[in-house]
Amino acid sequence: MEFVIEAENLSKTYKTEGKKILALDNLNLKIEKGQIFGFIGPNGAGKTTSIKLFLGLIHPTSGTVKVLGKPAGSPEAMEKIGYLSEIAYYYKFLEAKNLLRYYASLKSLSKEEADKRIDLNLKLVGLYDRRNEKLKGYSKGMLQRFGIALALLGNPELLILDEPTSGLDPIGRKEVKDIIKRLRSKGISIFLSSHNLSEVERLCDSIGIINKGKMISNKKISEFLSYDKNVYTMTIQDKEDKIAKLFKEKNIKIEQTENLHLKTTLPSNDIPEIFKLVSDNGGVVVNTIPGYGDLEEIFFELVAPKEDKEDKKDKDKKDKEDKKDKEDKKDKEDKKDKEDKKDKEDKKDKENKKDKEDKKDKEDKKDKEDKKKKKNKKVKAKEN
Amino acid sequence: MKNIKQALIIAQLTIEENIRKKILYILLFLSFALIAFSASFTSFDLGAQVTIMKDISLSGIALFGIVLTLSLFLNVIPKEIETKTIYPFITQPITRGTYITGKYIGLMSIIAVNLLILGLELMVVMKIYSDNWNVMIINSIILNILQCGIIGGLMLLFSLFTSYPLTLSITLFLYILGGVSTPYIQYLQGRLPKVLLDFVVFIKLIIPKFDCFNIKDAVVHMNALPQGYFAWATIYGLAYVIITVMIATILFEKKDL
Amino acid sequence: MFFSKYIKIMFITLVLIFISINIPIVYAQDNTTEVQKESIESTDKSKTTETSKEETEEDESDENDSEHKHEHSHVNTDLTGENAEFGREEHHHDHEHDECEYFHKAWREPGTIDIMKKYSLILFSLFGIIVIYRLISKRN
Repeated sequence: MEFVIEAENLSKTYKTEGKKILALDNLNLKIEKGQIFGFIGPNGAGKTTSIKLFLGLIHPTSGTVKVLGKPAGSPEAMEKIGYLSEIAYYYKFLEAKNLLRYYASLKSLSKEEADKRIDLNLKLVGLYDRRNEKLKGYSKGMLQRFGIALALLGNPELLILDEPTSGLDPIGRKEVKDIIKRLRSKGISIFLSSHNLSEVERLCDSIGIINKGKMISNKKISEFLSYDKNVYTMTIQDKEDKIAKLFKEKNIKIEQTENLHLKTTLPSNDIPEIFKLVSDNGGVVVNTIPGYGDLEEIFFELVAPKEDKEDKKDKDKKDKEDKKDKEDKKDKEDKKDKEDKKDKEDKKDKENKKDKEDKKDKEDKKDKEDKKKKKNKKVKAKEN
Repeated sequence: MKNIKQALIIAQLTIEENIRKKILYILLFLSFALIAFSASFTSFDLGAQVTIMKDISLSGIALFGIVLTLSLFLNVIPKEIETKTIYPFITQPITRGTYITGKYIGLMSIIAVNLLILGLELMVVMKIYSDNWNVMIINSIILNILQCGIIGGLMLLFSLFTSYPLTLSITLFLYILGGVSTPYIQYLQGRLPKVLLDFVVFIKLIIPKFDCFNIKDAVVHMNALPQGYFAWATIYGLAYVIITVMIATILFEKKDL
Repeated sequence: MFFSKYIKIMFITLVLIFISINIPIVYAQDNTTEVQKESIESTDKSKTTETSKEETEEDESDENDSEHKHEHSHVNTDLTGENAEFGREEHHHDHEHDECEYFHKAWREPGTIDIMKKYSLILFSLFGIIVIYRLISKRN
């Protein structure tokens, strides 16, 4: 098996202001040729340090690293590597095409071949029309695209991409993802470092999670997510308590996410039935995705420390209690409103009734008086 | 061969980058003006006027060269590391030595061209005033260029592991130390503690003797240089340039970017 | 931490400025000794061989000169063209404490070329050694 990156017991300690900071602690990593490897971790975990070690920008304190079978940072290794940095670090006083020509000449490409590749790459990233403009006038997204064009210049066997979709609009992000997929189909190995977990989940064949300088997990994506095409995960919101109760009655396993939505895992055949059940009871299905869980949850589980987990539990409990209090309060208010409404209606009815009775009494009284008057009149007439 | 080609490409890019710096043109203009101004000393007889012109102009050119060298070389590598514009180069298939050599060649090319332009200007002025090209001016300019080359190499070397003010202080100190002659040193011999003396002796043995590159008074007074002096001074200067750039390369290879 | 770093830099800079203003270099003594040696040798030569008038004059001046000498040259306005650069009249002065003596130009000192030869050889040899060492370590 051929490996594009082989790191053995790789460590790096920085010395700043008299202190020693262990940025990377015995990293052991082997990335197979032809795959897309996702490298994720929180800020300060050691991702950038690892990338710098692979590129030979810094020297390891201990351990070894080989890239494409050659020592990291050697010209032989760098010949077939393309690198896209997180932030654009290019000379802004030159035009895009001219600057690419300089880099191409460093890669020992002939002038004709260089021009051909440059035009091809610029077209691929959508910068061909602006090739004669200085980089000073480029936006962040355009500089990112320029970086991709540069990384692809020497027909690399390995691409190291640090946040490739950073600064790009949704169309740009899709284009970059499509480029990555196309490159993988050509057999190019890709090392992708990103904070965008959904992007990593969709693109990568394997994922490595690093935290506080240590590699805490390194598996194929299918192993990570216990991937089963026939099983789906459904996320539900609204009327969570009612629906949870219903699911419990039907013996459907359910759990609550950190944002208090419900999550359940079910076979694909049951989806229509559950969908109906949820919607009939006032709930809303947020999403239905294949496989168990998602990378984000696994990431938080692995990366969040124990104290934070406990704090999170307490926070969840508190949130639950707050929600319950709110609901109780709301119910009480609804009840009070109902009662007030009812009282008002009763009062109104009473008044109406009273008015009616008064009216009736008045009419009766009037009738009586009229009758009396008539009677008196008759008597007088008789006397006369 | 490949490394040389790559170094020249880096040099070309360095020239393109630095040729946009305004300080270059300000200093060049000032030096031009100084040479032209020196021609305005008409209160002396022609012979004396020519001597004064050459003296002032050659001093001005030497000073211009040193100031330009200090300003160009002061933060050439540290700035690239700070702004991270070095990353797209170091991640190409070139060695760090090739990169630093290319940077050096690029900056020295700018300095050399500027000094030669000023030298040519002085020669033209000399031709006008004394009907003599004074070709020795070129010899003086070439040795000035070598002197600037050594100063540049030292700045490049020290900038890799010290801050800007310290780089400047150390380089200036070494330049002054290298330029001071023997009788003065002998005069001060008994006047300082032995420890300090020994330390400075050691440094004086290692650093270049910058006064070897100063043939201004020979040019001004039209004295003949000793036979072989110019050739050996050139070789001596090149030797120091090569060794300082080599040491800078070794240090740069070990540096974390 | 910052304060101590700042003090370190200030201290180093002050020391460097102090040294550069008051530079005592024993090398000067070696160089002067060399000059004296050469003058003694040339004196010996003049004793053993018959010399021309110019050489005798030079030797006599060397013999008589126990202090450091200057050569001041004047522009030879009689000569024109390229020859003017190579024409000179030598004029000897004896000075005890001439100011310009402290910034005496190296090209006037006879030993300078030998020093440059010596140092060039050492430096190029050092360069060669480093290159060979790096090539060997690269192969290993």
